Amino acid sequence: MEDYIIQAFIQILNTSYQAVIAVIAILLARALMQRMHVPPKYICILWYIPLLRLLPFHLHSIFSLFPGPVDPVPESLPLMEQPQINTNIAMVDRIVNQSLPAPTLGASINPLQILLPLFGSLWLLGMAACLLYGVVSVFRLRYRLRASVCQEGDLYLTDGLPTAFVLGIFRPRIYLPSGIAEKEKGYVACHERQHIRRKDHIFKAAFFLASSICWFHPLLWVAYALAGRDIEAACDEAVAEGLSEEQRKEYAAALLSLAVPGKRPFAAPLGFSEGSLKKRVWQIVHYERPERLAGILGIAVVLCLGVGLLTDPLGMGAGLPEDGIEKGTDMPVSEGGTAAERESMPGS
Amino acid sequence: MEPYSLGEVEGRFAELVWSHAPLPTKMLITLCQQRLGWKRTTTYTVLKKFIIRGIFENKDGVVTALVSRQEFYARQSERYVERSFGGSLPGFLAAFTSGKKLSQKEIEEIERIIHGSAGEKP
Repeated sequence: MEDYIIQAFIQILNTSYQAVIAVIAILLARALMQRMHVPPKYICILWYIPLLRLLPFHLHSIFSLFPGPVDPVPESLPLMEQPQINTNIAMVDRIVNQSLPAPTLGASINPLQILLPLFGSLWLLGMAACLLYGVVSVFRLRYRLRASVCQEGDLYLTDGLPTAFVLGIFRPRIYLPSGIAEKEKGYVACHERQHIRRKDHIFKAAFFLASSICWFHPLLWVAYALAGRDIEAACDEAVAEGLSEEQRKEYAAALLSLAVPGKRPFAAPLGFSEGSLKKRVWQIVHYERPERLAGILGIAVVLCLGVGLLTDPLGMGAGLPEDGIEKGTDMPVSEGGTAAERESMPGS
Repeated sequence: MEPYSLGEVEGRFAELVWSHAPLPTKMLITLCQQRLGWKRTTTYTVLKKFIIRGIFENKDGVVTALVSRQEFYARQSERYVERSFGGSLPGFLAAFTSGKKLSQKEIEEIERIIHGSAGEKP
């Protein structure tokens, strides 16, 4: 059992490493794309990359953007005489390897064999907590939504909702706050339909799942928040595209109306900063047809990052070039290892 | 629109408008005179209160209801019902707004953007 936890934990460590590299690259690309006015719908595609990295397939290509092995933490870590990871990023390797505890001379215990299952268990608990929160929230919400009235088709009205949203994966329903004005209804429903068309309701749930699995890494939650914002921007744009200038102002007014305090007195737990509403309104009111070039640039960046981040470098297997289980004369020495660690140890 | 409770008298006036809107201002004055015993100036004063709150409008001699009776009362009851919802909407839903509260300053800034008098991009 303990071995499974260790193996799974090491796997997750590697996966979160991949996700971190991917997210950093995406953040850079995203900044560039925003500056070049690339439509947000292309930026949104980038956020699928960290999700796809979670899947257990490996493609190799020369275009990989990873500096080194995508599995820097070897499965044999707890068994190594000189535990180390290998990312091929000198600074990272140095810092991490310096802090990895080595089996003490003469003692029969490798601290990693205690630490890894411990951290592994903590990880499992954390993940379970996140998933539990998600599942419980959905059930509580569905319970509260049972007193809803079907307006037409997939549109439902509910009393006391703070905002409109989509609930359901296979048969998604749009829930609208019952006090919503007629005029607003059209715009809000349109926006939510865009979410459904773009499968955002599925994507967001999947990203939440991914973030829960790598819950200990703040970067993934940051990505989750930013992806959420990009998705809203993309939906706003899709709606604004078909509206006249006057209608866009009405749409923006609907956004404001649903966000005014006193009417909606609460805050969402995994919410976004208030500044984002202002930005959304700005983008809508100042919507302009995107230039062709911006779209082409967007697609180009998506392709490059897609290939670069979803493929692994050629020629590097998982972990170290040589596994360090057997004591060998050619044992790779990491930079900055202490002299004591370099002393060869009695063979297994 | 801010939440606004109607006193009984205002309520009766509002009912008159809602039942007959859109109607010429002159007709409203006559109705108020007959049903409520109001002078012309009184009707104008009360109407003005509703106009300020964006509920009714008086343009080109015609009074229209910007907010219907139904919408108005729905929004009133909202305030009570919402507290019982006791809100935590999970963040992984595809929603319209995040539901976060806005400060008065932010509301004004956003209104300015909508009405085209704001400055630079946020």
